[in-house]
Amino acid sequence: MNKPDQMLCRFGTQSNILMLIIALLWTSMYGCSGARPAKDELTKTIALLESVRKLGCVHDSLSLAEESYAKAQKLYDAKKYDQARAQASAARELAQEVADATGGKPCEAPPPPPSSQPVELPIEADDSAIEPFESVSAPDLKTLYFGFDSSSLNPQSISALEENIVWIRENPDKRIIVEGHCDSRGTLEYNLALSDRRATSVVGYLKSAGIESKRLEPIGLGSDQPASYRQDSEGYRLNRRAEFKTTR
Amino acid sequence: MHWTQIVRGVMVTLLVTFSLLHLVEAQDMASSKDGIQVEVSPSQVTRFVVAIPSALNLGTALDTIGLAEQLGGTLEQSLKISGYFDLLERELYPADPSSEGMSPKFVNWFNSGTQGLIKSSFAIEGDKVRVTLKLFDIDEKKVVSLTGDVDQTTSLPPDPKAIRTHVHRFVNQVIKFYTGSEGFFGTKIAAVRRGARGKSVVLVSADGRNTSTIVKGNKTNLLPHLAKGRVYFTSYRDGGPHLFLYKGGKINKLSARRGLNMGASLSPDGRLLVAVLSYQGSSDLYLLNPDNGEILRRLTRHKSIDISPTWSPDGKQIAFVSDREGSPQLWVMNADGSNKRRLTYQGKYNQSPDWSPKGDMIAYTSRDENFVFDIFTIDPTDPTQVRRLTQNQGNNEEPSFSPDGRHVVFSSTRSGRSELYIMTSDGFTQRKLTQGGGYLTPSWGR
Repeated sequence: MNKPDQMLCRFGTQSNILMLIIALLWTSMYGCSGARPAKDELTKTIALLESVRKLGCVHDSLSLAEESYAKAQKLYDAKKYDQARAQASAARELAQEVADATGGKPCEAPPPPPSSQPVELPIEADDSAIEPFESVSAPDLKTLYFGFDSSSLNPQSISALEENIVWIRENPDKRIIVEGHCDSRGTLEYNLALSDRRATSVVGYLKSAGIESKRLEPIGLGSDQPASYRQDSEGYRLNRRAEFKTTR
Repeated sequence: MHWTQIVRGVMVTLLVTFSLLHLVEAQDMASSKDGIQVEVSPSQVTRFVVAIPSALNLGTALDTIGLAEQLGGTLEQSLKISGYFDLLERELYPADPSSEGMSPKFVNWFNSGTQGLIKSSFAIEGDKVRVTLKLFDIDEKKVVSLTGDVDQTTSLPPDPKAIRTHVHRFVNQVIKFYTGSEGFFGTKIAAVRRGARGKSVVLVSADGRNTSTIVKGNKTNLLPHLAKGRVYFTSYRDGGPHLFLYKGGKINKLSARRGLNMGASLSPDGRLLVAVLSYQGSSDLYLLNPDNGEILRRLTRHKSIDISPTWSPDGKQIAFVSDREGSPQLWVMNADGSNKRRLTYQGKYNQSPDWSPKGDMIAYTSRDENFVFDIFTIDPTDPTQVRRLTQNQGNNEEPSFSPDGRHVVFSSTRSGRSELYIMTSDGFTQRKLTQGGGYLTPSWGR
């Protein structure tokens, strides 16, 4: 027998078992389908979701996509990588549907949903007399963040506010709208009240800094306009905020 | 050989360690110390067995409009939604029920195990249909005479809506015969529908078959309250969250004070409107004129959040949500704001109360430590009596009682989308009412 054969004999069944064990170890470390592919899918999906959201469209498939994404995130956290990847991929398809439907353009009023015949008195009411309220984003003004169930201003919020005050003083002709927001956990009415309180507490600080109250408009928006659709603690944190807008 | 033994030993150790790591999953069962700890309890409502054989065509014209299906389908669906009936399975019916016409052989039905029998017949005559609906009491072996002539032969246009309305009137009386009070068919539930266009205010019929939009959703509309033909709601249509009244097809602005204007609830006698305003600094409760929004009285004066008012049926008390002791809880006060007392002590987050028109309980939403919402009831005269109505099925929120207080409509995400469900006030027979998703914050018209 020559050397290679001898070695082969020596490493016979034992080495095969070892190889098998090593292979099993490596696969078990990364999961049969892999945590990484699932993570990739999740990342791609949230990126698409956020870009679709920026178009400002309200679409049934979009909310379905968000829910699917949230489920995918939960599955991933529970280490069910296969299912997470499938769910994230489903969410991405739905988000793609919205993107395709809008052609990637910001939204205008989509066609109304079909409604059944009104029964007795309900008819569409005439609301043309009311003027819309216009606000524009204020990129120079920083967004503030709040703790869970809280409307108090932490040190980071205070320092951001001090910076905002500088801009506000330098632009005395602008009205300042402070929008309070909540994360999605919580009943509607309580979220509205909490978001209102957040906006009011920011406006209170601005007033005490000498900004005239007639320039200031606090408004609570509840959880209706999230900054993030992530259903995890980071997503919730990003939504517990006060955003600044100005009038034209 | 020595080094292979070492390698083998190491590999086996690693394999065992990895296996153990995979077996030990993170514990996600949080401790339930802070969450509300009540389990669902058994049903207290009696259910009756009813058989509904197919409708009989006693006329000469063929049924080309599906009338038999409309009659049978509406009868079955409404009896099921009411939660008081179990329908006898068709396999247990006596052979060929149509051969006995509208005169049942009571012995045969008795042996099938049913307590009630509904027979329907029709005849299509030109542009009208003549419909006859009868209820038979199998135990007593006789036909039941129902009030309001609903069991008399009636001539109707061949229109599905007219036929459904007639069947509903009949079913309401069947329910009265068995349970002492009429059914709720014909009443309406206001809700928000989150759809392609935004959030609209809609009216849903109590059988879930009709949804009509009354306020378009181009700007966000929220928290409708339906009472005495009026819908009070909050809308951002002119910028801030302002309070509006929809009445007779017209929308009027009631309160556009700075901050929140929301949560309006009409008193049982229709003379007062309680609502949430935050223009004085924090969310507080006020009594307003229900026609013009003028402030009549301030009810709470606290820097806490005070929201979600609901009237007792005698109009003497108001239950509401306050976080004045740290977390949102249910409180009660007299309708003039005096004698405020806390009601809930279980659970750290109790919200959206609705006082039953029977006065015997307040239904509300409670959130547990996993941020899951469920519906509970509490006895306002004995707050230790807390009952749980939903469990382990998605998020269940925003209960609203039927006008007679025997049913509750609520929103649930158990199907994956937010839909309205109806259950009896003991939590049993929870049936999905809507489809298509996006339904929120129902308010059953009173």
